[in-house]
Amino acid sequence: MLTAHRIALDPNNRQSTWLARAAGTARFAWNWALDEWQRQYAAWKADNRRPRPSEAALRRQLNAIKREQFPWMLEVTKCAPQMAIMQLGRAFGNFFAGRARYPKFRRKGVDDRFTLSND
Amino acid sequence: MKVSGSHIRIPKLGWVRMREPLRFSGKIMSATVSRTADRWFVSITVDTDDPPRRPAENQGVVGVDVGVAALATLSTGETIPGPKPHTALLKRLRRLSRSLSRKQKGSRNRARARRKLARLHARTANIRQDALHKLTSKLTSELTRRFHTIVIEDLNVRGMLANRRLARSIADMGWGEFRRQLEYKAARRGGLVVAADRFFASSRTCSACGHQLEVLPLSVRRWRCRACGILHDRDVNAARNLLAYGLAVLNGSTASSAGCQACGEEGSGGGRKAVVKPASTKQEVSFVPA
Repeated sequence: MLTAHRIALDPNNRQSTWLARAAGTARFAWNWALDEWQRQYAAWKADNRRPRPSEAALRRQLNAIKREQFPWMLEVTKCAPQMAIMQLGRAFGNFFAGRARYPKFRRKGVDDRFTLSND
Repeated sequence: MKVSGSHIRIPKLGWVRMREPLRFSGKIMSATVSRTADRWFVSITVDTDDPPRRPAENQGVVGVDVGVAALATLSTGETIPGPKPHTALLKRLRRLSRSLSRKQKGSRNRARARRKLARLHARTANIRQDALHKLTSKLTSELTRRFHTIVIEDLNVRGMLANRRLARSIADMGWGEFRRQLEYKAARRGGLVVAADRFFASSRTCSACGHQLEVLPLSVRRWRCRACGILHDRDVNAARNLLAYGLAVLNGSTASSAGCQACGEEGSGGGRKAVVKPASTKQEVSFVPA
């Protein structure tokens, strides 16, 4: 059984700045992937031979360009952008299954968060 | 990512202090760090063994009427007051909101006022959450530990919130969350939560003789049954009717006979036959133990 335990953190100034940056990276990755998804989906609609967007493909694409275009992403954990895109994939899955609305863009300062995987 | 005592190791950042150690043992799957009211929290997902299903202490059945005056009224006659945190903190909330609206946009003072207001909202939510958790499970006075079967109303909370005179009081009690917690906690213990039909007249039916009133305004807290002359407390009466409804469901009879069943008191019904499924699909059982 999966159980979640929510615990308050006690970060110092340096740490809370880092946490805010990681949350910002996650938000950026989510927004980037959502934008790309919409673009690639429109392209696929126009031309069926193009690949359909998927979260795994988007993660590969981001990893390919982040070193040149978004070098600041490397300053926080790689989990922040990676898990954000995986969560976007789940959000689309929920949308296609009729359980949720279409994913929205995230906004700074509203529910800032990022996820770490344990590996 | 690693957890050791009350510290968590975040890759590339290092050890960060947590306010308490992780309470669950098992494999850590993932952790989400989030910010609420300028405080950082980590939610750690742990793959634990299935918790031991401690059954309810007795096989009792209880009807629960949720309300605005008292958070919950049980068919045993107990009332559990709600904390009403929003009502209690409304004065401070107004002051801080007004203070925020007076600050110039983009200024540091505005950011500080915003944080203060956010902290107050978080506090309100925490007080409510604490009370609901205590009522549904934590302490000895809780529902899922004491009773095996809990009968609640199927309320149209969203519709009721559209009443602007009542919305604040209703939202302050957290009825939807109350039901959600009851359902998952009862499921954990192998208990049963029965939701009465949405149009079941729990308040305006006499729990002693089954006489049904046409109307019963919300302002009437106590009323005397015209048929049998019993003086009813509005909420206790509703809770008793819910209990009768639940017993009827457990016995497999239809909802329309619930009023007659009310004459039989606690223990005379089928409280022990918890595994029996309800007869008709109209009666919604939220959880049937495996």
